[in-house]
Amino acid sequence: MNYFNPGFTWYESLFGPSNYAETLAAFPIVLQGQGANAPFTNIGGLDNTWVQGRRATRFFINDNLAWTHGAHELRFGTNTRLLRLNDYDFG
Amino acid sequence: MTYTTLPQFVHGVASTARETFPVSQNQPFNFLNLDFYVQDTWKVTPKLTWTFGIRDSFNSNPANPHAQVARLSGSFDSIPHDVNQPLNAAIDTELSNLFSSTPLAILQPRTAMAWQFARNFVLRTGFGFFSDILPGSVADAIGMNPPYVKTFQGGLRGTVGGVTIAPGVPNSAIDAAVAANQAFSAGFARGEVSCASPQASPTPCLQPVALTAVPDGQLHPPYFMEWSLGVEHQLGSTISVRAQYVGTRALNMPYLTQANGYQTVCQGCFAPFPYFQPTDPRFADVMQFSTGANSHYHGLQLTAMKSLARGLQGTVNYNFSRCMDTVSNGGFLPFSAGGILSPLPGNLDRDYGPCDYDIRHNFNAQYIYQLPIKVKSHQVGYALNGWQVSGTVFWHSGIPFTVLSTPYSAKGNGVVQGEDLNSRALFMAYPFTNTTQFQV
Repeated sequence: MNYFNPGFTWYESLFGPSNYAETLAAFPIVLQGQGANAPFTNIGGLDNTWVQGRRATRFFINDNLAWTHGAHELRFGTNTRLLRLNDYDFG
Repeated sequence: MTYTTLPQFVHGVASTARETFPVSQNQPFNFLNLDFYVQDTWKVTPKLTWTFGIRDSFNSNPANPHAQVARLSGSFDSIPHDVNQPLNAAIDTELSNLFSSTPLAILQPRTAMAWQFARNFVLRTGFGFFSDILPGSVADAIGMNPPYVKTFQGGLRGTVGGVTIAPGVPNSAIDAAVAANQAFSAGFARGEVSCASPQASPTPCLQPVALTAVPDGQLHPPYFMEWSLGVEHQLGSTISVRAQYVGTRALNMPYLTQANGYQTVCQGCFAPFPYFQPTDPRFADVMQFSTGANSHYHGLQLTAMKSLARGLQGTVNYNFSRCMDTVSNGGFLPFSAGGILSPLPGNLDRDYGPCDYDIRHNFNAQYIYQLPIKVKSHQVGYALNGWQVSGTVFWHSGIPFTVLSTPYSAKGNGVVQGEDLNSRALFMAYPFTNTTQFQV
């Protein structure tokens, strides 16, 4: 008995302003008060962290062969995964 | 961009102005995990079954198709810390792979037995080796090495100069970071030396940069040993109970150390950190990636199962366990806020203690009950028949908690380029139990 099970998945999960360039043009820095003597809200939000997220492409191949012979049940197979992760965390 | 006092904000003075300069916002990395296995389940006698097999894993060296990986030629400890050596001689560039090499094969033999030694009693036991792929975060860390990604910090507490907050104004701190990046990019290609070298001309010279170092030679990949011994007993036709001991041992687990930290308190303080200047002043923070962390787990698992009969089925589990390790949660991301991931350089064994998720008692139960409603009318029965009630109950004891010291600082002195190393565990305890443990 042979079970052959290939698969493919892809997803994109990117976070950021709809127009990052325009956002930075309006206010190009993130200004952050630090410590007890500057208890103020950040100006610029999380603009220093965008764009954030990843694109992930995954291929799977699972092939399992089962063979019964007398008192033995032999199984052979492969589980293969090929992943391409494209992270947007380098800025 | 940060400010620490209201006058700094009013006068536009930057405490720090930090900017990261990547060649690209994103980098793809390819990972191939290729497993082959062969296994035989042999019914030795009608009451004894023996399963044995072997799995071979090939986990590829993560690869960047743009060949934009840079790393030291060896581990941080293995390279010469010669400030007169140009940085482009210390950092290998245009590489595709994260590591020097990775093993072609990780062999994982496994065996298990099931023996019906008495009527309605089965003894089960097994032992095996297992492997796992490294977390993808490793590519994010090593992929951000200079010259492909650089971070510079200006402002009062920065290293590249500049004071004012706004870009484009005289003495701008953020413009100083931009200038440092331009000087680094041009100077690195020309083979110029670091600003730490006495041979460096005042401007431009290469400001210290942060990086992540990889182990020497071939990567020792993480692997696990797991073993178990249990007895299963069938009670009647629908109920079974099982008691099982499970143990695991993990080896070569990843962890990070901050290898270039130093302290400014006194000679000999805060060992092993050197006094007043880092081991290699050409670099800022250096995270040394290693695979040498380990863990132990021992657990007693008690399970009662009732298969479907008279509309009711369910499972009840209780687990009594103990988990000890040197670094928890795979070594990259803390399990909880403030979790210590980074042992002191060369002191991994001192971090051996309860796992961050060491839960001593864990109880859970699930049930499904099919309501005994049997309405014969077709229309009414369509709406009322076949309903089920189900639920799950959890109860577990608390996880260990650690009391940390505040970051050490006296007259502005402390541990530099050590980040969380400033805070050390003073006290570790378990909630809901009387057991306490101390860690220095």
